[in-house]
Amino acid sequence: MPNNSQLYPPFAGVHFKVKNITADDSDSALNTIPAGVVSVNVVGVTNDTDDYIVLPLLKTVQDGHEISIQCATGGAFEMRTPASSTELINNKDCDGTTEYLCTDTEVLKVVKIDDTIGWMAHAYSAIGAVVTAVVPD
Amino acid sequence: MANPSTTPNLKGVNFEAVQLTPDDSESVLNIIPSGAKVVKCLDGVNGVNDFVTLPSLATVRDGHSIMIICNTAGMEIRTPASDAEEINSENCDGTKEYTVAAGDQIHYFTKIDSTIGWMGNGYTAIGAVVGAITPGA
Repeated sequence: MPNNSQLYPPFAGVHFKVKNITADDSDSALNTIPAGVVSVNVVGVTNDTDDYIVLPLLKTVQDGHEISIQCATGGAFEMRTPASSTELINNKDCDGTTEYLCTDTEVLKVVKIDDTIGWMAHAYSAIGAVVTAVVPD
Repeated sequence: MANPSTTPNLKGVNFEAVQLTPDDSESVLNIIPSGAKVVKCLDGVNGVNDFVTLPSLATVRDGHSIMIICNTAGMEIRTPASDAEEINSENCDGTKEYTVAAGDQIHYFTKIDSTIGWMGNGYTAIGAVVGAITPGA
């Protein structure tokens, strides 16, 4: 049941259910992150390293919405925005025009800035090192 | 209805972005409410020296983190006037300010404790780490 009675409810902690998805070469429920989900584990690819996962449509999440993505495919894969949406990651149209390259074992953080600017994505290695900003191509 | 669990198991959480307008003095326009998690900053009233104000340290818990989506022109972050509270080990109650460059950057502020104050760090809108900011006068 939604908690609507308190704007700032005090919790000792929050457990976020992890959504497992599999990269693929077309948009489907298999590889699309549902709106509202904040923790994602990419468990594999269907074909090859050109397979991709898809972020939610910008209008379905709030400004500042942050998604944590664990890359556990055993190899590279890509990240896109929904097909034909012209929505951006790191200031590049990633609806298939360009893609954000994801590297195995890294942890990605993806934050919605707003509906115009789109998503900002950055990453850490599995041992906490900052990954150089990725320019989608 | 209050959520009876102190450690709820959720798929996600939507934090409503509090929209603020940086200004050259403190008012309801530019003070971050205690407990807010996401702040979206609009264009400043005057210019790049306009600021938003973090909550008083006493009103939030150790470890409380706030995401601030800064505006396009650039702006400043302060602690409440005359409280001597610090960001990155500098008194930011107006004595000094944490200055954010132009470009819709995302900055995170984490309360260490009521003595040490806030740690601030940030990213550009295209995912690059912003070098640690030492607040200046």
